[in-house]
Amino acid sequence: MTTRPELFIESYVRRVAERQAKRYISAFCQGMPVEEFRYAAEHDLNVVANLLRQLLLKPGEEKAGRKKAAPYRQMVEGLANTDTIVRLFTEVSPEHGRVAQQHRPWLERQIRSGLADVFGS
Amino acid sequence: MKNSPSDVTQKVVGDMARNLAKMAKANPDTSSAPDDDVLKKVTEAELRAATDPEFAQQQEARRLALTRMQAERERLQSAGASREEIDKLKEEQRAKLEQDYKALQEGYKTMEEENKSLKESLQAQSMRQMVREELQGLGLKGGGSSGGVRSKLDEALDKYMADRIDGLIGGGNQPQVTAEEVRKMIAQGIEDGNKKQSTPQQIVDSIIGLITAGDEAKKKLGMGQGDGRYLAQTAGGGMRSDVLKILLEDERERLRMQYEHESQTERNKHLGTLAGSVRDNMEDMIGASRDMVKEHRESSKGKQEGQPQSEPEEGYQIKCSLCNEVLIYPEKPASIFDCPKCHGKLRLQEAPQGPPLPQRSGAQGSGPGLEF
Repeated sequence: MTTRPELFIESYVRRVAERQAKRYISAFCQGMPVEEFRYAAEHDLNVVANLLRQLLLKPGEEKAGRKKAAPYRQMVEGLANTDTIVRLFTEVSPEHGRVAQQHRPWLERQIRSGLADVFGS
Repeated sequence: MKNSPSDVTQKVVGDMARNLAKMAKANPDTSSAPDDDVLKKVTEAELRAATDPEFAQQQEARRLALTRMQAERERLQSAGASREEIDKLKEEQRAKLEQDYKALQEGYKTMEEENKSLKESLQAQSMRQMVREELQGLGLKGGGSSGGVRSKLDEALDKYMADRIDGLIGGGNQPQVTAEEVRKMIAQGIEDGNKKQSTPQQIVDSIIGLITAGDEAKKKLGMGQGDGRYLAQTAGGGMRSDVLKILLEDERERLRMQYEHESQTERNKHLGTLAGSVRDNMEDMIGASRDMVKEHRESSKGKQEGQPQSEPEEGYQIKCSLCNEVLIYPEKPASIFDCPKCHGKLRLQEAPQGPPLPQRSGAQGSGPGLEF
């Protein structure tokens, strides 16, 4: 069921989450040049999964972090789909977005792996 | 018979020996006897003196000078022997002089004080004399007070002095002490108490002392109209309670102002935090509102234009009897549930058989619509 308040809340939360995600993606793109990103995509390296893990879990406090992140699972899983991630990458850095679009299956595997690591399968 | 050279020589030698003996006596500290060179020189000198009269005169002069020097030396030595005694005497004299000086200083001070008291008594006496003359001039005849009967002069004098003292210590012809002056005294008492780091009890006592000082003085001097303005109130602690009340009022006022200031500051801080968070999320909130409006507009536009509605959702259709809203649930809700729109409590009830509601393709559990 979708009422107007729910629409508002859903839209608001999505926007806030996307804004935060853009900040993380921007920092990631600044730290990893396009060539390296392309190399990682071509060689199936675990960069995005590691990034997700580091963002959501503090090193050394994985168990507590998983417990804390559990209530937000639905929201994160709803947001962290491949299309949204590719769109965000494109909005932040078009070159990185192009690479992500070209290596979409790799990105999808990375997201699935990262989420499974954080929230469990 | 002239003396022969051998006689002269013998005489000279004899004189020389005598001189040597004298010198030994005069210089007892000389540890060694005159040596041979000196002896030789002296012998030669004596011989020459014996033959040369001029040399003899010179020798005589030298001998006299030597004798004088020896005498002076002896005198100085005798004088030097008592130098220590002189120093001792000097010290004693100095100590004595200091003592005398101190005694003189004390005596001077005593005399000064006596002089001062004498002056004061003289002034009082002269003033009394002047007042007496004035009063006598006014026609009041004085006489010696006898056996407790006070003369008019004495009464008038007392009244005059009482008025003067009353004017000096407060009150008199001056108007009543105002509340502002009392508050000033209280503030002064508090300031003094804080400087001396007194306890609150001491501060209160000092304030009461300040306020009642005039009346106390009058009471002690035995003048004034009965009890003082404030003294009468001290009976039963009235003055103390009034002073405490005033102090407490001020303290309460101060605390109230402080509390208001703190609460205002806290409120402003929270408002600032709220404003900050709203500012940060305003963009998202506006975007979400726009999405909501857009969604609503599209859905209402579709209804107005008569376009076929979008495929109904799967699940159960329920119509709320309170707000007439048609709700679609994916699964059959519990028997008692809340309407998401009007938040009214609803109890599930099967609708009476009527025209069937629109069916969904592939919908599960789509039977007759349920309504409350």
